[in-house]
Amino acid sequence: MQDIEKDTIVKAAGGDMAAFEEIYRKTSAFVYNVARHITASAEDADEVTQDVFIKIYNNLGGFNFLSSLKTWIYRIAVNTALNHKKASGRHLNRRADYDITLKTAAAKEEAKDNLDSQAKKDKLRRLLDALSSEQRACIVLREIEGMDYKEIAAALKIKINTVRTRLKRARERLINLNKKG
Amino acid sequence: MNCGRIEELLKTDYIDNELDEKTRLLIKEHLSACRKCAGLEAQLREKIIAPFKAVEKYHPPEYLWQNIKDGIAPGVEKFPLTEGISIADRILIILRALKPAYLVPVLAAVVVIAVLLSSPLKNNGGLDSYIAEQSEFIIDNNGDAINANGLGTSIEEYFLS
Ligand SMILES: [Zn+2]
Repeated sequence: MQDIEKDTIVKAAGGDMAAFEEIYRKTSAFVYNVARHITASAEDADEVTQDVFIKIYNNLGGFNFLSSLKTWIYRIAVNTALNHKKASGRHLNRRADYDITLKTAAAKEEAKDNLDSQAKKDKLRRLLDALSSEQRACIVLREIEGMDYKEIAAALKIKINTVRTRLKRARERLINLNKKG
Repeated sequence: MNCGRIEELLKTDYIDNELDEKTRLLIKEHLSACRKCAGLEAQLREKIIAPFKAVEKYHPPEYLWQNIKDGIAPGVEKFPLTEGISIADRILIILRALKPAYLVPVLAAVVVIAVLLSSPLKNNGGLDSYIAEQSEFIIDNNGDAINANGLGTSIEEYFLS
């Protein structure tokens, strides 16, 4: 994720849409990618990303600069994605009012993926599906986003040792999965 | 270090480059001598780490930014006094932002202003200041509650501008 200047944050907090768009352009790739891997769906990733940036916009005024904006956005993104995953399991019809054109756009985007990368994604999907939500969040941040233990701990608001334990358990589970074939 | 401890570190700090140089070298030395631990390292790298590295990142579709802009309701969070928003729209924006407890007094103010604006006296020179007085009176009476909600004078500006 690229750095964002304090000046940009202040402007965006005051309602400057150009400044807010700059924050979006610099951070949305991370938010979307994490949401996509945690929820395992293009539609859900769309919804989570929208939710996250509306939350960010509405709460920027309360951002205190004690933590970095990145860490703050990491945290909102992971929490929103995890909650969304939980909620979508309970309310299957939640998206009745969801714009149909979005679904079409997401489906087209999915169809564009070629078969080779689809196979890789299927394999990844199987691995991630074997994990608990908490383990999955750690693995996505570590393996896919390349974050170190300290960054993961800050993003998930957990101790570094908890990060370590979750990664260890996740990998042990993946090793077992491989043994079964 | 025994194999058990090495295995723990292989699954975490070693594979994730979180170790200090000294410990890392100790483990490397162990791996060159112990087939069991070397086997675990190879398995971790090939089967557990590599599949994640092989996948390209997903990129947010362009329509998301438009949806987000649309999702940020105008006025609710910042009360921008933009030209061209009708009085009725402004009132709706304010009502939507208010908690139910403040709805009745504010609604009363809205009704008074609406009646005054639509009255035949509209072109009378003294009317503007009359509306201002009445609005201030009504809003002042509820001022504490509204200020406590952090809305304060923006409401007056909305009604009076
Ligand atoms: Zn060994």
